[in-house]
Amino acid sequence: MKLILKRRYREEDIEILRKAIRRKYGRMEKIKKLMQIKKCAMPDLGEAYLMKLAIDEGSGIEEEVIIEDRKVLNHLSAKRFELIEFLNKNKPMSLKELAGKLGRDYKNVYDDVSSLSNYFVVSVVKFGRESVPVGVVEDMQIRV
Amino acid sequence: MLKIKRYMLSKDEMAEAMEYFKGERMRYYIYSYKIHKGRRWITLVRLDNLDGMEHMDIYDENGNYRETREFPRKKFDDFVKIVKTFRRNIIAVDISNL
Repeated sequence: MKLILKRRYREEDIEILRKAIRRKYGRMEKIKKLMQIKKCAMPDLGEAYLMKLAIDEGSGIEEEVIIEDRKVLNHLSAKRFELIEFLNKNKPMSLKELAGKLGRDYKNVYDDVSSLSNYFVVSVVKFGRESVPVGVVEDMQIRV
Repeated sequence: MLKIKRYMLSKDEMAEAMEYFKGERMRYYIYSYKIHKGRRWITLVRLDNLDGMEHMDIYDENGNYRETREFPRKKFDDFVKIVKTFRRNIIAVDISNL
């Protein structure tokens, strides 16, 4: 069994990614300098570099996630699909804001997002202690 | 254009491709095998051409850099096949000749 999903990043999602990269690594010049010194020791840096290149160029980011683990189905429920649909229709927001808008308990929303993000069904950007789900799930297929 | 492909083998193991295209041509790529440990994804093996040279970086299970080896260019699908064969043992095996 395979679950295949495609995610698109809107301008507002890209803006969140840009801010998260800048907060963690600084401006592009600093990233380039760090790349020369610590590229191998910091594997995340190369990923941030490619993401920043695409963001600065404005050429877009496409994402495909293929999940081969059947256990992912245990993490999908009606309530969680409702959450995915809500995220698709609204601008990125913190989990606290999300819980407020959905009228749900913060802990339950946190658990749902954590569970889905473990399989990258939901993509989460971290800002220090805050997490912001980003991207729109455009397509989700289950293949047997 | 950045194309990201994540191939989740289980909840805590994935092969990830990041391919940066300039026009039609793929300029840079990073293919990684990552494990989820202590709330973060740790890279164990990484193939990339960021400095213009195809190579493989190997890390330990805590994410500390161990060594760099030469590695011929592979397609992501081939990298996934290798990862699926060796899983976490991949760091103990010399895969550069595969």
